[in-house]
Amino acid sequence: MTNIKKIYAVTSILFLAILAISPLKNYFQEWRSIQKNFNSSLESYPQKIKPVDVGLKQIWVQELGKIDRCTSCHIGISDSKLVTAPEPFSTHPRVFHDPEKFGCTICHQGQGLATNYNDIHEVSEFWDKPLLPDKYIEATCGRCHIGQNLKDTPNLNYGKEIVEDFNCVGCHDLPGIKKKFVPGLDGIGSKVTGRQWMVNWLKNPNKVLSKAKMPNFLFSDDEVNTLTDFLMSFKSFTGSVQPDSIPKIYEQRKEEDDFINLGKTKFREARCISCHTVEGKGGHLAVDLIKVASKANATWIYNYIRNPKKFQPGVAMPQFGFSSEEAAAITAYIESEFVDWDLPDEDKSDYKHPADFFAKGLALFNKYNCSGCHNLSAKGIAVNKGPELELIGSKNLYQIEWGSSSITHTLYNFLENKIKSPRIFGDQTRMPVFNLSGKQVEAITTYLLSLQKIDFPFNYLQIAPPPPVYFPKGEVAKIINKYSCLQCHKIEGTGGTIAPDLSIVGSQLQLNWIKKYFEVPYSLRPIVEERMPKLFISNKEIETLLNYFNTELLDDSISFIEETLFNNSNIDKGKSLYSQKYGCQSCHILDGKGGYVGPPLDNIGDRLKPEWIFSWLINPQKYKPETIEPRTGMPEKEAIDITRYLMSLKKEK
Amino acid sequence: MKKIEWLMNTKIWRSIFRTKLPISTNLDRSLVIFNSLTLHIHPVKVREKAICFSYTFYLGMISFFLFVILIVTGILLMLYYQPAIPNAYQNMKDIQYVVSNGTFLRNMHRWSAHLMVFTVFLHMLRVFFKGAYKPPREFNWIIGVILLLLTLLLSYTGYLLPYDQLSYWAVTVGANIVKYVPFIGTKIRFLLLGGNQIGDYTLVRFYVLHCVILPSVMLLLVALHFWRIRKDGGLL
Repeated sequence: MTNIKKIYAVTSILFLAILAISPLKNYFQEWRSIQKNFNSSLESYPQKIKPVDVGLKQIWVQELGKIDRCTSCHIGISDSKLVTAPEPFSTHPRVFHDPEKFGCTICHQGQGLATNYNDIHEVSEFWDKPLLPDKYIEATCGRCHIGQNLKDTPNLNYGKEIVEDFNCVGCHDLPGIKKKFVPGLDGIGSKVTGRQWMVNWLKNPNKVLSKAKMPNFLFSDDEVNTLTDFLMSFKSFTGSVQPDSIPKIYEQRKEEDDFINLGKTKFREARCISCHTVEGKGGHLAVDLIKVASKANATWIYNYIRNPKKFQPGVAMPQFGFSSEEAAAITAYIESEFVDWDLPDEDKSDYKHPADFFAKGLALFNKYNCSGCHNLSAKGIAVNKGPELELIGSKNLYQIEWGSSSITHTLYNFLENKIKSPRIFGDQTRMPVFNLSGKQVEAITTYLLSLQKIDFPFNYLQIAPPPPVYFPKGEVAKIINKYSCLQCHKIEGTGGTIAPDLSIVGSQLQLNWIKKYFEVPYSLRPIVEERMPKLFISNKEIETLLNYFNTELLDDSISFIEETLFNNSNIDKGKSLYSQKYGCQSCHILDGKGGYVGPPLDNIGDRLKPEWIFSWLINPQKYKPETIEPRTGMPEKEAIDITRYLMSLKKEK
Repeated sequence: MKKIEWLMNTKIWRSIFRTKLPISTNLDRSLVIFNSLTLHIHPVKVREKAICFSYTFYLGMISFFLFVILIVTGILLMLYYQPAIPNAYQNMKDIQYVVSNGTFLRNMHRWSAHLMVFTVFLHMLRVFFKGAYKPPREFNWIIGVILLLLTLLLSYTGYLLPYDQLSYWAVTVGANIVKYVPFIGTKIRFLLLGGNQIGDYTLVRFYVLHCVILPSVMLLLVALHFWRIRKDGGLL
């Protein structure tokens, strides 16, 4: 009996001791010692800092359904006195949203409910959205700020830009991204010089052209041959347009140096390299021309120079006003210079198609969803898209196929690796390899992570309004379309961002100056890389455009300056205001002196309208919100004096 | 001793305990057992062999005490838990991270549940190999089998309550199995899930099953089970 009692006593004591572990663990938690450390280190700070009440802290944002206990250890996030304090006590670098109203995990993600280091900061099996690494942090900005292109989210904006640039919407549904122009494939068989080029291109576009947009589909040799046969069988162009035959002068003179030099001169005069790259120099807006003569045949090049939109409706290249002889000369120049000398001569005679090449080629074309990007008029072409990505940022981890990869299971790891090496999660996946730098992959990942379900109240959403759509009409529309003005210039919210906005150009510029500018376009700001090409635009077209500018593209708020006031103003006073009171020369160049930030002001009196100068001086941000020219609050009288002074700066006095 | 005797003779004591004092005969001793709710679980006379550990391994009683632990910890857990989406998962995290001894509480509940399934099963094996299901104990065996089923059902319904991936898919699979019942399969599934797919109402239904219906039935049957042990002739 006593034995049993002893056993009973010992087990009871043991049991009690084990029971004591729980309250002890409960008391000795990480955050408690961290808070005590904080309180004991307070004396080392120069300023006086209030000690923290030891206890669990949390931010509860009822509307967002967020409870974040991060502030239990991150004590000083909103205390500017703790900038130099060590982690986790230091001040939050720059706070965009008040943590008290938004919490922490709304931006940083992670398990805000947890109270120990590992569960919060590290990837956990029990929390699908772990703490976002800093490089992707802008993704959560994009959850609420949809399509706003904020200046504080460069990475996110860049990601969206690349996604648009590489035409990801060809295969994936993405919200608010427009499909890009990609050359159609009708008539490809009449464009390309031979099979060899096509084979090389399909094998690896980046090997043919270092900046090729087309990704590498990792085709096998068999697949490349079948696809080449299939594509080369398309000989007629869209809408069965016929190419113009190349003028006879081309055949007669294409070897002559004079003729080639004429082409070279025109090529330079038109500033083709503003957009096209040649030997690594020039713009990046259009295709590298260095090997173009080995790709396309002379007839096609000639026709394309005459009218690019004939074969490729929607292409960005403007239709230059070259005569047929000039175009032939440029073709001769291109044929003599832009050749891939390494391309072996092709034996075209004895090549025979396999019997079933068309059906097999079509199957491949459909399998890899080539029609997602390229138009091709053939029967049996099917849309075969990849997964929708509209809500990819909310994808649950269990829905992801990880294959045999040994990657830590997080959504950002999945996306980054998928973009970097698309076939890593299984050989059967179809996604091609894009030529992307590490920075670009990060940016795309950030953008994709931002595409999340809206699981918060709608009043938190900040959606950019859809841009206004500008439709010119009539003759002007034809001209604007022909010269692709809106590829670079913006008019009333539509168009590119490379060149100045033309929405109120009629109120800004003097007509004579515009006329001359079309003759010899130049870059107003010396630091800007892209130059306006010379379009060889006819005088009649210029007249039409100028009329349009002067009647439609105006700003109503710019009013004429009263003549008496203007005439009574003082040039000398204006000059001294320019150079002394306002110090304009710190940004603008005049007579070879001054800063590079603003445009030079030499001969400004020939270029700008006085009303415009005056209105701009009074309030620059009214017309261009992002301009860095300061709003000085100068009185009207002084603005008129400066205007008078600037208007006196003319070539012929 | 005298004081205790005095205490036991007070009116209040006598109103609570039915036993007449002093206890001097075997009949008095028997009456103590008969008159007490808790003591009469054992017969008046117990053979020493029957309370020896290797006789029953105490498996029935271990199961019962685990059930008691489950009720106590379960009630405490109920104080912090809302059967709603997404509160359920959040509440579980709160229990883990901020409720005093919450992790301990939850672990106790969870491990006791696992252990209970195990011991109930062993208990059944023990009864089977001792042949204790034979008449006159066949009805008690049936009750025992139902109790095993109830234990499993309690485990299963409790599994959904954290509302994480594991529970979601466990219940999805379970509900799909139910669908294969001939003729009324889909109806039962609808009844069980409170809809066509798992959602808030499924959570509420499983919560009520887990916390009210199944434990009440279990308690009643356990009482019956114990009572039948006595009436069928004690332990075997």
